[in-house]
Amino acid sequence: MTTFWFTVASAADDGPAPAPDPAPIELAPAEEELPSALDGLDQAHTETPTGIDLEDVLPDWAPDTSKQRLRGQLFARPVLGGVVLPEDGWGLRVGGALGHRMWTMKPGAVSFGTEERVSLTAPIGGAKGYAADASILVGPWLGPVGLRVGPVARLDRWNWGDGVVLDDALGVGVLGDVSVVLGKAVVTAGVSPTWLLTGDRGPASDVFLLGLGDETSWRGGVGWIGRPLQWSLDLEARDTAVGTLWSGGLALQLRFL
Amino acid sequence: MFFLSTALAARPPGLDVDASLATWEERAKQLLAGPAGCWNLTGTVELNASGYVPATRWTRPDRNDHHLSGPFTARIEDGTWTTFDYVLTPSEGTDETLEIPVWPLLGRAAAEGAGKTEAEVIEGESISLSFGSGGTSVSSQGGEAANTMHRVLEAVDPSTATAYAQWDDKVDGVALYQDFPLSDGARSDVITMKTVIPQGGPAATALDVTFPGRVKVGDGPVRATIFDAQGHVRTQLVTGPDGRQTAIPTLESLSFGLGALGFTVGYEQRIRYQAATPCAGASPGTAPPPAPPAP
Repeated sequence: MTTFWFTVASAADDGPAPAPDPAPIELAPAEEELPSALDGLDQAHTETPTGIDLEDVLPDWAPDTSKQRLRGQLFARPVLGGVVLPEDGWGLRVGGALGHRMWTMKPGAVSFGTEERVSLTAPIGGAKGYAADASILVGPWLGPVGLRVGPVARLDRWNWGDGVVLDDALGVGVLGDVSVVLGKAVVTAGVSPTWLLTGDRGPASDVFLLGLGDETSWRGGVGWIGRPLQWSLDLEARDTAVGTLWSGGLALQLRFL
Repeated sequence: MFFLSTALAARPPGLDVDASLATWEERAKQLLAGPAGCWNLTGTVELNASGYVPATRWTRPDRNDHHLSGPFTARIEDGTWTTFDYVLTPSEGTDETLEIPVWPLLGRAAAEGAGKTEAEVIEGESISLSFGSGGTSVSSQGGEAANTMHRVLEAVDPSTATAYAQWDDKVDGVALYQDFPLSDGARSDVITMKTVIPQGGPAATALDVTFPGRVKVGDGPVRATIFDAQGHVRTQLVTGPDGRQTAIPTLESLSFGLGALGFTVGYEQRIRYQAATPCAGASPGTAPPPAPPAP
């Protein structure tokens, strides 16, 4: 009798045996290849390839770019820079730049690009003046090395007070730039000799490295290819009639991939 | 003539495709709602992101491709996702961080039924992926898996949708086409949703949603173009513990492209469902049973 009750009690404590877990149902793999937006990525990227709908702007002159793997982009961006004067003092300048870039999309180590750019800046604070710059640069990318060369023009006047004055002058010259991408870092350097065509300004009174024209600018910079922000910092030494002006600037750009 | 006879023989006799439009629309609705009952699902997730990066003054133009894949486990209860957990491993050479959400196309996120606002639902649905040297770990508990199709189709006014159906020999069933206009204009672009109901039977098994090829977004200086957005779902009819058949997804794909600021980016999410297991001890599903086949 004792054994009987023990057996019953044990059964009551354990409760009913748990139901086995349901067996998984293997789903037959769908053999169909589903279409994807990635299939049309190249086509979408080549639409409006130059960044400007040339057929709207110049319907009779627009080149047929439909079969060229060209891509272009208009850009507009603010400019903020600082200037260190030859003697004591410094100033800030603000403005904007407008331009257009175009580049080839053909895969490979060598590609080609152009940039046309105009910028207008003015000092803020007690200084007075303006600067209008224009440049057209062309050149290849040879693997990680980018080369750019082209004509530049600058019309400017600056008065920082205390007799530090750059009179009105129009200068034209050439600009040569080189950039090297090292992983995610970018190192850049460039030189731009200009010759003064009009104005009351004299040639450079001081030479930083080498005098190549009436005024010579030497530029160096570093950058980082980050995501979502790509930045570059550059420093420029410009030989002028009032001595070597040092200026610097920071450029930021979004990068999604 | 032989082939024609064979094809026509597959069509159930007496099936009036045109007269049963409301039935086909209900089938499409049931498919979007997700499977009835409680199911544990396993499979793989693949994410592909590709894009062209514009040239800058100092950097050359580039094309980047990112590919991630890995297994997932998920639970869906009467069309409501309660978990969707996955671990993704980037393809070789990818060691950066991306944050990409995963959007199952069918069903709803659990949060939508929990009295949350839409903003809370959207916020709660973001899923973070953190790539590292040891792979990617992802956890999306508590209904963080987002739903896509419902939100998109509810964003447009369904009352203005137009629909028609026809028998399609290629799919051996009824093909329902529903057009959802993107705006009120008479010449508005439309989202087209095609639903396949095999044999005009009790359940739809395939869904294809196609957006207009190009959609311009934004009026300011920064304009974007969304291109070739599309979603596709394929399902398999499975008999649940309650004896009812329901459509379990086997393969789904969501993809779209975006062009802005000189970038052209494409994204694709592909989910392959490999096994479905009824939840242990789960009561039979509470979703209404499928309506009987149309006459």
